[in-house]
Parts: sequence; structure tokens; C-alpha cells
Amino acid sequence: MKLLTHNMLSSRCIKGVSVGYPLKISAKNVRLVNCDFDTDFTVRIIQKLDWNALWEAAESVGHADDIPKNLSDIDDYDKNDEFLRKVHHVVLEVEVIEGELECPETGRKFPIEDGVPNMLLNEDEV
Amino acid sequence: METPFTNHLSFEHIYEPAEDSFLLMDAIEADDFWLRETVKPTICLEIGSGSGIVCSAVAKFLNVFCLATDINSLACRATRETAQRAGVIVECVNADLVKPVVTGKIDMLIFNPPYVPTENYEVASSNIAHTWAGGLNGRQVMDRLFPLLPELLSERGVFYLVLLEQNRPQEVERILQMQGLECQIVMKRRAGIEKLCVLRASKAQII
Repeated sequence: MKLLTHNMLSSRCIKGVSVGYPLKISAKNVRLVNCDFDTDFTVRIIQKLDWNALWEAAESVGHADDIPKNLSDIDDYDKNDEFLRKVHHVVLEVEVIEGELECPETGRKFPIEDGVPNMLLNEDEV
Repeated sequence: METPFTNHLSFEHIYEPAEDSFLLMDAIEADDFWLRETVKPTICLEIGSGSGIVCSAVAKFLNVFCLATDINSLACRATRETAQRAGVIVECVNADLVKPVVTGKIDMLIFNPPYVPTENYEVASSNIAHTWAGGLNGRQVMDRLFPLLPELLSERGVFYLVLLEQNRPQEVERILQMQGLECQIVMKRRAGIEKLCVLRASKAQII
């Protein structure tokens, strides 16, 4: 599970949960992979991101130093190659292979196995 | 659009790509210009990705980030393998439809649903039944998705859905139009006894 994927997931589907976002990450095994960098694609991805959720996710897997806590700290980020490459690295190249996602409201845990989060719920949870 | 290899997979518990899969890929390919110029998709989601053939092809064709959900964990694994072999990024989540996906981010949503009309008890009765058994009018599974679409799609988002004639495509169009989506049957094809089509429902303006 890449951190970009984590940015798109919530536990709002659980009965009684109002926001369910962001999910907490406990990672047992994190892997770094190589992905081709594309300036335009990275800029478009940043426009889609919930930055706070990304920063918290990066912190929980030991990559908080790679990106600023606030996106507003970076002027003209779309022209800042060094910054864009760091974001690219954090969102696409850091992968949680084994671990858990946790609902911030109920504490319900969702296992991540072989890079795939299991977000299936039991009938009594929906 | 290049067809990804799937000959590394066994199709005992997942859907083997067939005419409906290729029709969906062809319909997306035919919208090439409009997708690139108007929708400009960054994030794509395929529901029920199965072998992963469609999302892997789309990821390569449009240079989008692809998410994929499947209720069958074996299908999630298959999708990952197919994407890896095609050299593209597809991220899998083991989930029911779009339940864990946050709202407003998906530019392109793709679904080849279980569309075969069956008795309702047959729906979701096994891994392989998940891939085809659609309950009454073949609509039981896809009907659960429709109310979620306006929230799920981004402001220019587009949805591609495979339908069988028995699913009552015109009725599906009306349901989606009532949710503010612009609808059109963009491709039709006969495959053996199946009369298939692809419905496109869009928030973005159609040229």
C-alpha cells in the first residue's frame, strides 16, 4: 500500500463512524520501490491530496523529514523540482507491505498483507 | 490500447477476461481524445478488477494512478501480478464496491459488474459467483453503487459501466441522469447470446 492509496481510504463505511479519516498506520514491513518521476503528474497528484493525512502517514512510517508539515510553507511548489521529487518519493515509492490500518474513531483494525489492505467489514459493522 | 498478459493466472476463482472485458477496454480507448482533453484523469478506480486486465491496460494507456477494489482477495493478488507484469502501478484494496474510498477524488471509475440475471440467493455465493451472478435483472450489485456515484466522482469525473440488455440500460440511464450525470451508451456488441453495451455517465461536459 502506497501512501497515496492510504490518502484515499477511510473507515466511514463502519456503522456509527462519522469521518473515519485519516486511518492510523502501524507498519511492520515498509519497502521502497522505484517509480518514474513525472513533474506534471506529481503536481496533479498534490492537488488531490489531503496534506495533513499524508504528513501523518509519512511520520508513522518514518518519512516525515521528507516533506514539510504544511504545504503552504512551499512557495510555487509546482516549479520546485526538489520538492516535487520528495513528494513523488513519499506518495509513490514508500510502500507498507505488512501492517495495520486503524479507524481513528472505533479502533477497528484492518490488516495489510502482501501490500493489500483488507477493508472488508462484517455484516454487523455496516 | 495494449492488452496486458494474463497467462500467469489460473481462472478457477477469478474471472477470465472475455468479450465484456475487451468491450470495456475498447469503449475507453474510443474516448481517448475526450478523456485526455476534457476529463484529464489523474486517479482511476476499477471496481471488481479481477484479473486486473482492464485497469492495467488503462493505467498504461492514460498514464493515470489506478486504484482497484475486489471483494475476492485472490483477485486482488491477480490484479497486482498483472499490473506488475505490464509495468504499471495499480494499487489493490480488498473491499466491497467503493466502501472505503474517500469522496470527490475519482476522475475515472470503471466497473464490469456481475450482470447475469440470477436468483438473488446466487449473488455472492462463491468467489466465482461474485464475478457474474447479478440477482434480479442482473442489477442487484450495481444498483448498490449508483447512489454513491455523485459523491465519489471528482468534479470532472466519468463512469464506464458494462451492461447486458437484460439489465435494462435505459432504466439505468434514467437513474444516473436523475443524479445529475450525463449518460450515453457509447458502444454495443453482441457476444454469443449476450447483447452487451457500455454506458458512460459523466460529470464532465461531453463534446
